[in-house]
Amino acid sequence: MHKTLHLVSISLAAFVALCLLSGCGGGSAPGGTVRVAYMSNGVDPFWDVAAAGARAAEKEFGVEVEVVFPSPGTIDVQRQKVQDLLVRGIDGLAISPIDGTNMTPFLDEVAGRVKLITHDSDAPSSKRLCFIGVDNYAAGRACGKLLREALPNGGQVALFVGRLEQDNARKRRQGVIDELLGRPADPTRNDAADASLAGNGFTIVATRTDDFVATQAKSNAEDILVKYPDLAGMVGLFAYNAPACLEALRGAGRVGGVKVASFDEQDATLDAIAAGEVVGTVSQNPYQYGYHSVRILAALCRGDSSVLPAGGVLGTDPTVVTQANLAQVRADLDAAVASGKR
Amino acid sequence: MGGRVSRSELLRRLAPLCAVGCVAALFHALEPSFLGQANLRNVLVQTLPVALAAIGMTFVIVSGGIDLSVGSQMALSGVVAALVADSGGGAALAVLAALATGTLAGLVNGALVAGARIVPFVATLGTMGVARGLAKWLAGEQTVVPSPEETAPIEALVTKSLTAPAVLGTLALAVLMALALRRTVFGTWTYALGSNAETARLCGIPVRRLQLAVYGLAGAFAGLAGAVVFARLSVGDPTSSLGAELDVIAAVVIGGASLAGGTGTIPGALAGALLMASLANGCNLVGVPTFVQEMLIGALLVAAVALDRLRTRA
Repeated sequence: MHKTLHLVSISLAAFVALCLLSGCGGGSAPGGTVRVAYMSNGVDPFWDVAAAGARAAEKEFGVEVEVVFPSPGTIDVQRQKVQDLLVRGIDGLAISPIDGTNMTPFLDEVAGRVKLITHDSDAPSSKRLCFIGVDNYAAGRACGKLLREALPNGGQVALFVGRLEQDNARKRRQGVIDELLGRPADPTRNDAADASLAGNGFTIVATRTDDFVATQAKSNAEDILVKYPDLAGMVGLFAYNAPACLEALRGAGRVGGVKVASFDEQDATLDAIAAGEVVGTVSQNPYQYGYHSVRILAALCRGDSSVLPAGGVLGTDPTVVTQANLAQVRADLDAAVASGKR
Repeated sequence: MGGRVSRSELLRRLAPLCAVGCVAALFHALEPSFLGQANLRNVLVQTLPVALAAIGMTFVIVSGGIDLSVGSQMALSGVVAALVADSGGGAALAVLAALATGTLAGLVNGALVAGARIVPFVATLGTMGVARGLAKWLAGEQTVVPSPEETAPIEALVTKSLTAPAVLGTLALAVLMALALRRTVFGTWTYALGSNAETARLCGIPVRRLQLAVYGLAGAFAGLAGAVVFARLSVGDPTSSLGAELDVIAAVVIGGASLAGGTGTIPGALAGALLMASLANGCNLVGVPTFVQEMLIGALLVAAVALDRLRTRA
């Protein structure tokens, strides 16, 4: 009896091992439908717009798309979600890696099994086939320019961001700093988080990180406002940062006294631009991230690699949103989201 | 309980408050704005969620139990409050909904511990996941964003001044609960249960009903804490307060409670919460990186328990 059990368990184990080795259970669904996944680095309204783009491309290119938002947005959870997808079987994955540098070996492993591309934040030394996203350094400079124009006499500026491990966060931050300090463009520059930086009438007093914890983002802004009573400007590098800064400014009764520049197009940010409480925001056009990710993956999975952009990077254009073009941007955004609805 | 207090017991109760004083003096010396009115308001408001949840957690820990689901309960209650506000329910109804949600979740914990006799650690580990998942489900895996007109009256609970309604409300509740713990039969029974559950049962204390009440109370305070988080963020975020249960437990333990049950006070827990928030805020002002703050608070927790051990041995 024991012997039979033993045999059964060995055969089962061998079967599972063979399945894993041969990739059984993975790959295309019956009928040859291409299945791809589009993964964010967390949950945020920003990603809803991106998902709408992915859905629109899903219909246009006749593929099946699974949209995955890791929650909470930590490396562990993101890796787990990727592994789950591989087990369930997909042909391609577009991912915004939470820590591109440290996740490179893992991403290489994934790239060995399915078509892999990155979007939003890159892992440049991994084996991903291409990256889709704005030039974050240039976008950072555009954001810095908004603040520079709002503060012609310069002043103290504090920066707020989820975490600096992400490639996009570092480049955005550097772009803002270089623009404010009037330095020549150099995307490879990387000032330490605690470096004291001054020039061109501006002083960068701090860069505060919050690990995507919303209460921490607000506490950071509140604490900076106390420490620097003469603060002239605040820059929110991630979508939720500028709204958190505004909340803190309202609490301190300093709305308007401190100029705020932002990234992305959260409703709270757009409302604040309309009210003149935020000078402007730099939109990355997330709809394009979703749309192009699925478009490129669909072609790659069907064996067409002519869609790959030259140099492996497809740059989308950032849009600078101010009161002047707010109405148009909102209308475009609504239309984009509506078109992506299933 | 009640009556005369020995000198070592007095020292034990005052230690967390003294520590708050020392931290305040240190940061004031390094950064004069620390004791400014604007920053004191920030510290108080930043303390509120952990402080509120710690009031309820004190009852659980004194009774010899533990509640790991507090952070998830806070997120769930915050999401429910945001949904109520979003549907035009108004500030009072949103806070009430959060309170009811937390209480219900707490009663489920109580039923599992008292009724199904599941060890508190395991029961609340389970409900931690259930409540978090429920919060994400209700929120559709998104943040719930009510319009500014709907959130303004709720935000007003935590902004503007040192005497924000949420601060005063927390203080009033703390006084009430401290009296309940020290001066009522309910409190006496809670201490007795935590000191020795079997003796408590033999003395005729209705242990099961008491446990149900204690976990329900902890849930109610977690619900209020969730409402405060919602008021601070003006959005209902199902991923908020992740790991908050550990901060809450740390506050209660720094305040002099023992995880073995039978000891712990509300003022101690509040001082513990205030100490952790002042450390984080002071480090932020002075420019100490976040990872150092985390190490400091960890070291503080161990030091508080070690000091307590030394004193009781002496």
